[in-house]
Amino acid sequence: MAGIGFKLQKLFQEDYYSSRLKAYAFAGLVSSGPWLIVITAITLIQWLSSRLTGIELAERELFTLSVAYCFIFSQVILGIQHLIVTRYVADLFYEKIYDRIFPTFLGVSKVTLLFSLTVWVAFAFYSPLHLGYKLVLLTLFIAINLIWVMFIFLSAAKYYQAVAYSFLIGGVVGVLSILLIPFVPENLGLSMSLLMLLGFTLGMVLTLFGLMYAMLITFPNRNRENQFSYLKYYDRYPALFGAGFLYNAGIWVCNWIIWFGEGGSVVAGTFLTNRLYDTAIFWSYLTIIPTLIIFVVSVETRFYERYRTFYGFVNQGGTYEQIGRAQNKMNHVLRQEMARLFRSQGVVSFVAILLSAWLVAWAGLDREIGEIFRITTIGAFSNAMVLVITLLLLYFDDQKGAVLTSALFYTLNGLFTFLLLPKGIDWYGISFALGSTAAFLFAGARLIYFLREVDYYTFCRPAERDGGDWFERVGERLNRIRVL
Amino acid sequence: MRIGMIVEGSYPYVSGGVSSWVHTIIRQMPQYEFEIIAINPSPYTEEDMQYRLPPNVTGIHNLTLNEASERRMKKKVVLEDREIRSLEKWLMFEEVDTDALFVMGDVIPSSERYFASRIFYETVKKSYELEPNKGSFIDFLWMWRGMFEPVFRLLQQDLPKVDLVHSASTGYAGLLGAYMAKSQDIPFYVTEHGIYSREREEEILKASWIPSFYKKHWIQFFHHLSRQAYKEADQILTLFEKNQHHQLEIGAAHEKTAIIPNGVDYERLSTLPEHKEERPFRIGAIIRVVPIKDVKTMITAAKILEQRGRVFEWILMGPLDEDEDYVNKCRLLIRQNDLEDMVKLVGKVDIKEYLPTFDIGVLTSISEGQPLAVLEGMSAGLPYVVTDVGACYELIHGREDDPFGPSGFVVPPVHPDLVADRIEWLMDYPVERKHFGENGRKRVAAFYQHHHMIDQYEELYRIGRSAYGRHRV
Repeated sequence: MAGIGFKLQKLFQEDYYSSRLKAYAFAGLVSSGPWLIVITAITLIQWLSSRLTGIELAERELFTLSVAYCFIFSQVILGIQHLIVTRYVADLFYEKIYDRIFPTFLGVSKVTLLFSLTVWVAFAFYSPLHLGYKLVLLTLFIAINLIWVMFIFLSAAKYYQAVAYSFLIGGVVGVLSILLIPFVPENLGLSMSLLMLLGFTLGMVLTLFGLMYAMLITFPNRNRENQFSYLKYYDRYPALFGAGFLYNAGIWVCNWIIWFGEGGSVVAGTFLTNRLYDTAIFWSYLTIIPTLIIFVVSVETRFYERYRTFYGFVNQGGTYEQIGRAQNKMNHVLRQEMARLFRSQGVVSFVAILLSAWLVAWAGLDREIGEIFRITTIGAFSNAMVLVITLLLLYFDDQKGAVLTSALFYTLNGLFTFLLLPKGIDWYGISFALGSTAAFLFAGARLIYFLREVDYYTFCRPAERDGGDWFERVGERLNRIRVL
Repeated sequence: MRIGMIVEGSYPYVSGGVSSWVHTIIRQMPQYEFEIIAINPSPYTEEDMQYRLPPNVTGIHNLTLNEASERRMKKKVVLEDREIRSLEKWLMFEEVDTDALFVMGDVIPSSERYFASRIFYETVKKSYELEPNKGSFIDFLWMWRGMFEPVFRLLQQDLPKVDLVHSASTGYAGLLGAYMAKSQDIPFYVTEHGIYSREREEEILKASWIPSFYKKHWIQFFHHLSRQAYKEADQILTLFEKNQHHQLEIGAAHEKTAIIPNGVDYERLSTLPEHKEERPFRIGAIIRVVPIKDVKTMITAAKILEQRGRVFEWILMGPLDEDEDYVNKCRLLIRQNDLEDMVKLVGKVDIKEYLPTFDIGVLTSISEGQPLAVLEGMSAGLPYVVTDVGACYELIHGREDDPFGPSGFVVPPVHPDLVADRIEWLMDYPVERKHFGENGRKRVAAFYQHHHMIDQYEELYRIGRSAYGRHRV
């Protein structure tokens, strides 16, 4: 007799949910580790160069801004690919397609190189700096960009040790090379800023080699097939791209606007800067280090355990009662940890604000910097919460929530800064504080709202949106070009 | 008048009993236009067609269960409480309220949206709560999706406007028929060849990949679909009495049911010229060589006869290309038993040339509807040995008020020894054999002729038109 063939087996064999998301969190968070090493290195270089070698201020400023620009724009370039690549690599690991990982690394590196070169060419075209200096800068820029790329892959492989050592060695070499500057013969006619940059670049290149070595031993399965297949994830998860890019851009958008405002200056005819604001915000960012550390620790221990239990019951066929109980436990722990994080960071930020006047005086900084710092520290506090909550949303695969948060963060930071710019230096930092806090409140509400029904979102996630296949086709075309 | 003929997994892409029935109906009623609505698990194209569509087929609509409809929706849909309740009761098999079909087909125009909604999740949870043995929730949820996604998708397809809808089975076809009948306010007939929900039930019980835990749910689902079709149908037809009993058991209203058996071309088959030449006793079997026909039982019966010293020829007529693996196994069995001279697979041949040369016909299927092969043999005056499946008993002994007497023997399935016994008896009693053959011939002439079936359906279509036609322009 006729009848529909009975072919529903696959429904019972399909794995529905995979807990591959944690990779984001680590990639996002542990990246603050290297960031810290680098910042410490720069600070030490600053200090050493002024104390020991007596290099004049203008030269030091040129060096610092060169390095800062490299970092700022490399972060933005990383943001374009960061979450997409992290997700793709995590999926490769999950599906145990290890031989695709190295080629993907090659592909991501090439795309990164392309972006870096484009940015550099624009820069080189418009800056009056010496070509030699620009070329060293290019080396540094490319090195940093590739370091971030390798960072994604090594974090996915959980090879944090190699990362830490590489950064440490690079940082130490970068700092110590300052001490060699007095031994460089003066008749070579090299500027101090160039020498500092050379030393620091040497350190970063060493870090790059260290990571490269780690890459080679971590992924022995090397080939050149399908390097650009990861591009299809731009079709599939546009929200991840948005979240990664807008968050990174959102951090810097205030600076970009304020560079044009009161107190802004141009160093060496090249680098826009606002010394007061940039310095204040730099110190503010240092105040949120506790959050980053506490979050990694609490996530890795208490929360992650509950999280895994919950998704374990979800995937491996727990009853609804088991799932519900695991869900309550997970939410309970998450609430506890978030409250603790909020408290600890609150105390740190509050103390930093209280001590700011004293600190500013001690460090010999301008009074205005202290005033701006007090406000930007509130912004940094909110920013830290935004980062943490965004990562949590990605833990639960709420890509929509993550991209909305990042978009709000970017838009409000930019908009408020732009609107308040005419009011001058007294209002600096307020836009950042307002924008970040608004994004924090939104993200917090979203997380609470999402967690209340996390079982529903887990089971009834809407089908992947059909975002076309433009990127996939580009990827396939690139895959076919053999010279690449 | 335009009739929507809904078929599932058959016409015009897969040949078989239902397909040839549809083909006959359409060809024999050139005065009506037919829209074919073909539901299949995966898409077919014109090249896959097994039948040349008659000129009165005005359109063919291919619907697949596994593809979302083209319709896109922009706005968010807010369901009213009444709609939610009706949908929930339908999905939980509590009621076969046809309004629920409109909620699925018209109010919610995208199955993806529904399965991502809170309403869906709440209903699944409610249904899960009712499970006596609560197991894996994710399996339960996926079972639910797997069950209802095709239903949503089916109802969300664009359907032709017709004056009457006729589905050739219950199941998804019957569901769609019920929906079309209600939404277009037209009469709806359903003809069941086999009892759909019972067939699915057997498949499900055998299927090792369904956790035994959820088998009950799946079986309920298919019965639910049948009940929906029965509820909305104006006429519930089937080919023979046994099926009608099943329909009544499942919930068909008695007054709506009727039997319209299949018919054969009696005129041609009953007047075939006789073959006179001397030959051994000849047994004929008109069957596709597939496992469901249980050819191995035939071969074993032949071996038993051979061991008892009987001389005979056993001719199996029918396509050999549907299950080559099984054909090879049958060939091997014939060879192993040294029966090559006696049992012959002749493939697809013109049965009219063979029928007059046979002394008896045999059918040993393990599952049947109403086998046309037996009717064809009986038209040519052959007595039959058949297994007790489908309508076979009814064909041999007649329905309750049948005056003609037996036309052969009925044995239980998979009993080669009994088959052999009956054949031997027929070999030994030529007079009774002739008599049985005549009984069968008369029965076909009285009830199972082609035009009987066509006349009855024509009458039904006519009634349908006049009953509903008044308020149609």
